[in-house]
Amino acid sequence: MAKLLRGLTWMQRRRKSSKLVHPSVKVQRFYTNDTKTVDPKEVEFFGSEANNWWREPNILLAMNQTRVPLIRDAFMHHHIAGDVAQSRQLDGISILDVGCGGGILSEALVRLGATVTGIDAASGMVEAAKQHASVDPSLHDRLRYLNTTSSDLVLTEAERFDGVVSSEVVEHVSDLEGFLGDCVRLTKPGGSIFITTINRTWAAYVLTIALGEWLGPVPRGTHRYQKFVAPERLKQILQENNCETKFLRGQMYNILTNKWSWISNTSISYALHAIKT
Amino acid sequence: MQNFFLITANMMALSGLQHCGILTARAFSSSPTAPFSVLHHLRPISSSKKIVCTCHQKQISPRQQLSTDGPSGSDTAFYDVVIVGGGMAGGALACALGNEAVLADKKILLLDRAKRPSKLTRENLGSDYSNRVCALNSQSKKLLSEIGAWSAIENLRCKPFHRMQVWDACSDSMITFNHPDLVQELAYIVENDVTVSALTEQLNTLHNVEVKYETGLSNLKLPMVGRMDQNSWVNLTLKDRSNVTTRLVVGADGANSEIRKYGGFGVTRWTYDQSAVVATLHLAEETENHVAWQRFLPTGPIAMLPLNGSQSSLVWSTSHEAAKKLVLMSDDDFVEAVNHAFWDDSHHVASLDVVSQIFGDFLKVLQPDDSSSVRQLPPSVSGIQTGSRAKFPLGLGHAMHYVKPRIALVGDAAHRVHPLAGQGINLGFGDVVCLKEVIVQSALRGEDLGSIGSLTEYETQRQRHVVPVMMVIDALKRLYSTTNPAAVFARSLGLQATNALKPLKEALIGSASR
Repeated sequence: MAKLLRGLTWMQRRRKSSKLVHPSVKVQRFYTNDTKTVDPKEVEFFGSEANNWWREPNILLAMNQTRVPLIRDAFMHHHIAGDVAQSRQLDGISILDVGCGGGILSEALVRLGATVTGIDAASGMVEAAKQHASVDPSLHDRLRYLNTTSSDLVLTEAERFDGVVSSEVVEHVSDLEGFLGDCVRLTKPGGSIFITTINRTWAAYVLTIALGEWLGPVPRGTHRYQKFVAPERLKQILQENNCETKFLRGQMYNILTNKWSWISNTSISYALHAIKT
Repeated sequence: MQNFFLITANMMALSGLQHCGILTARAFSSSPTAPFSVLHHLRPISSSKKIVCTCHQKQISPRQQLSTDGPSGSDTAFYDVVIVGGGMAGGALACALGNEAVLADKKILLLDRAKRPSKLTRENLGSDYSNRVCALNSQSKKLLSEIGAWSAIENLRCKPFHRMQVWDACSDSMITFNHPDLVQELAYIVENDVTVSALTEQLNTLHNVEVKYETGLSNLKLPMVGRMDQNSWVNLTLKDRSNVTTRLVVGADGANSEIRKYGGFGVTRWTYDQSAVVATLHLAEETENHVAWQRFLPTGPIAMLPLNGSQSSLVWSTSHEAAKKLVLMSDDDFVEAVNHAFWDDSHHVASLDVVSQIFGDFLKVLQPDDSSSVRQLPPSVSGIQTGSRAKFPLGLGHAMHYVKPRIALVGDAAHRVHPLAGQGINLGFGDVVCLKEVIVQSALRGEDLGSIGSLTEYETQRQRHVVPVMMVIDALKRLYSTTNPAAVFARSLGLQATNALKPLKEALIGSASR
């Protein structure tokens, strides 16, 4: 059944599945019993997007232009002393990429010298990420992918990572507080947490869903407005988990030039860096 | 030569430039998915010119194919960047990349078909000069200094010049360029062998750059885009049957670039009905020789570039027949021909002299007279270095795109210009600076170096600079190839006016030094 459904578009699948399965039945398509923070519909959607994950031109690949320098500079500033203009700047730093997808961010961080663990609840994504990384000699060590969730990983690897990144993920989870709590628990004390996501404003709705999905390159059904998170809420939850926000800035995508850039306005897309005390 | 091709604001010839194939939409918008310009299919004005537009032609090599093989063997060496072509542009790029601390963990390979150049020293240089020289502007000097090759060039030999005089054979109009009080140099005349030797010396010191000499390319497999497996790298098969895989292959292999052909890059090119004759001249008397001279004859420009107090290098662009004669005639006849070209006034249009005299007086009212508007006389030639005469055909070439996934072009492989403005190698070094910067920024973000997203930035920036320069050089060549009185009139008065406008000349010098 899963194989059959995977071949159809998201809209068709939705129509089809509503005929065959009663909506009250919760469908689980992955091995873990955890349904707390992970939304199964999201997992299924992203599993089917795995094949297209690395196709260029690519918004997420372009987002590395802002989020990789943010992560790199945050570590250089707070954790390591050294010149940015050197190779392997993040040597010795361990980073967890939660919701790594096809590994777009993970691979970039490995190339900067970090030891990266990428986790994703969708097994299709993890397979795509492993396959993509397997052919690149610069990624053969210091990178591993796991098909698991943050709440499962906390049980075995709490406080193991210098940095936890969750980029374009918090707008897809079902229990935000639980998810952020897991992320903080996975971070070492004094470690860094990085989040990039979309703000819960009408401007964000217009740009990311109306323009982005209906008219633009983002696959339909990627985002749902109800799940967008305002930065104040994120800061508050992190504060409750003893994390101090050090950086909060908006970023903007220019579709004509395929470039992301920092802006002061956080009303659409933004990035946040917090340090666990 | 400095950028005097921006001399006249009234370049009527520009409107005659219908070879718009060198303009692409991508030059003026940085969209990676911008469509090809539709203008490149326009017909040329004159049917005697050969225009070749190969933007949609099939791949040249029948053996070149998209690979469908499985993963390549473990004996295939993997490099981050492979540069094909060990000339000045390729060597400079290899040095520039090898010098960057950010790229210290990357593996770079430079492939050159020629033998390893022997190391030049002051002693083994001798007193003879090579007939192939270039005028390196301040940006090129800056690049070579940064990569540590400039001191070697200065130790060998180079000649700075402080002033340049350009004038017309058909009138008295002229323009001179110099920095105030002749303090700063305009450019440096350096023999190509000296530049290459300095770069080779520098390459030997770089631990992450490997150089393979006498290695040609027998095949190149383009990457498969959209999949990520062993076939998504570029695979090069060398003449010694070994294989090399890389993320990014850079074509620095000259105007007849193999990499450009393998990559299926469309190119707009045409041949000029001119060949350039080069030689090393002995001057009649020893002088400071810090002035570069260029005279526009109707058959083409003749230029004398200083090498030392008593020798200069000649670059004379003329018709193919005249070039053949010049190369075959005796040394004495050749010297006679050169002097005649610089001194003969038979092409002067008499009526124009009167008008330009009046115009000159008018300009003197607006702009006070200063030393730069004084006409100097070029040195006369007394002899020629034996065996230094050679000729080569001239043409224009421009690749529609400079980058494709995992392939980039630099130097003459991307753009080939007429030598009248001395910009060829300077444009090439400009490419090197830009591509190095793009690769460094890419590495700072942990990117896969050959990914098209970052490479298009290089293409955008360079095309924005190169395309206008090429258009103006081509326009100048056409404008000064005619004896049509109207054109002569317009260009002479335009030249005179530009010569009088100091701010404009300073802007021209500035833009040519970039």
